Amino acid sequence: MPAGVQVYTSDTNVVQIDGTYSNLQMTAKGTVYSGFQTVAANTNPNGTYYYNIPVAYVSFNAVSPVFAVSGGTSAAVVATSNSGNSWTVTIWTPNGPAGVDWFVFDRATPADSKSGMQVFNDAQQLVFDAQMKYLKVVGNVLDLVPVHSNGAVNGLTSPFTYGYGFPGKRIAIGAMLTPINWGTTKWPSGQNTVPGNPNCRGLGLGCWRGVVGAAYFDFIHTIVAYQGYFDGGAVNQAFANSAAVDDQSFPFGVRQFGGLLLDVTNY
Amino acid sequence: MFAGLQVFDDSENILFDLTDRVGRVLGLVRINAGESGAIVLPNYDSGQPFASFQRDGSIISGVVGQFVPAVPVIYVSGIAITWVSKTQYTTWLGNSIYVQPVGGWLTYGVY
Repeated sequence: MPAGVQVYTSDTNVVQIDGTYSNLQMTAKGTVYSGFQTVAANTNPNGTYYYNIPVAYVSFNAVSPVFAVSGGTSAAVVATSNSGNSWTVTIWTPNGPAGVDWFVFDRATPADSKSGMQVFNDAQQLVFDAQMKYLKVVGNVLDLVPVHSNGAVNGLTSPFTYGYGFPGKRIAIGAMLTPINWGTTKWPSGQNTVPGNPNCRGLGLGCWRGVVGAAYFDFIHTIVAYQGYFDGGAVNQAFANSAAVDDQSFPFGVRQFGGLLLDVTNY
Repeated sequence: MFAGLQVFDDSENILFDLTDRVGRVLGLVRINAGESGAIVLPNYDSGQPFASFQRDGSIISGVVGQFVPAVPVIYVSGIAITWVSKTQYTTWLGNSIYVQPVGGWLTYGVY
């Protein structure tokens, strides 16, 4: 390494800080409250359909962000869009309207603080400032939602919760991967919904909670009302928002979930 | 803490401690819809590799008829991170199913 310092953890001899890279740091945070809104869902060759669900939107500016949420509300980041450096994410809170704490981590020039420790690279650029709030990864989850015992016929995987303990640390979940599992209720084949008499559908949604001491992955059953055109009930079960993982019950099944578990204690 | 460095904020809360691991984000990879690929981690310094994927899109994916949106499957094994997208169609209960691949950003590094 041509310039700067290298810092290792006291227990594992893992490099934490050096002058050769610039880490992500917290550039924005806040709390947002969800409310029932009509949200555009998929567009198929016959048109678009919509859900009426509790969602919140967070907009921020960033170059290449990691977006994270925290708090005791089960929440799923289900959409991310950007136009240049202007980003908007959609957070779905399936248990009802609620508040969600959020954090943005991005590449940014560290602020020039007046105390603590700073590390510069060989171009004399500030790459670490001990007063900044860095992306502190404490865990990484990549796992699969279990297949329902009824296999490929109607039915959702039962609700469940997986816990990941980090004593004393406040946890946020970044870059989350949240499966949606549709099931149980047939779409009315080939018909439009009637305004004022919305059709509903059962689904399972993978969500995360981050609190002091733990992160939790919750697989939640909920009912959504939908509007708009739908072209048939041939497929009524899949993990639609997640990855395509082969297994015997879901030949196209998509049920991977994941996230970066982040320490945001005192952030 | 046994030895080393601790950093406090103005309220005497610990912001940084050398028993913390600062996640070293080594890169963000753009994965376009339908792409598969792999990375062998550079600058690999004995930490634990991590990877996670944030999907594109301003809409919420659902299943519409025979169209199933799907993001890539992410695998972390040793120092290799692999992603596999599905693009083909398959059949299920006698129906033709078309997978609609979804792109996004993969964040990776070590911690």
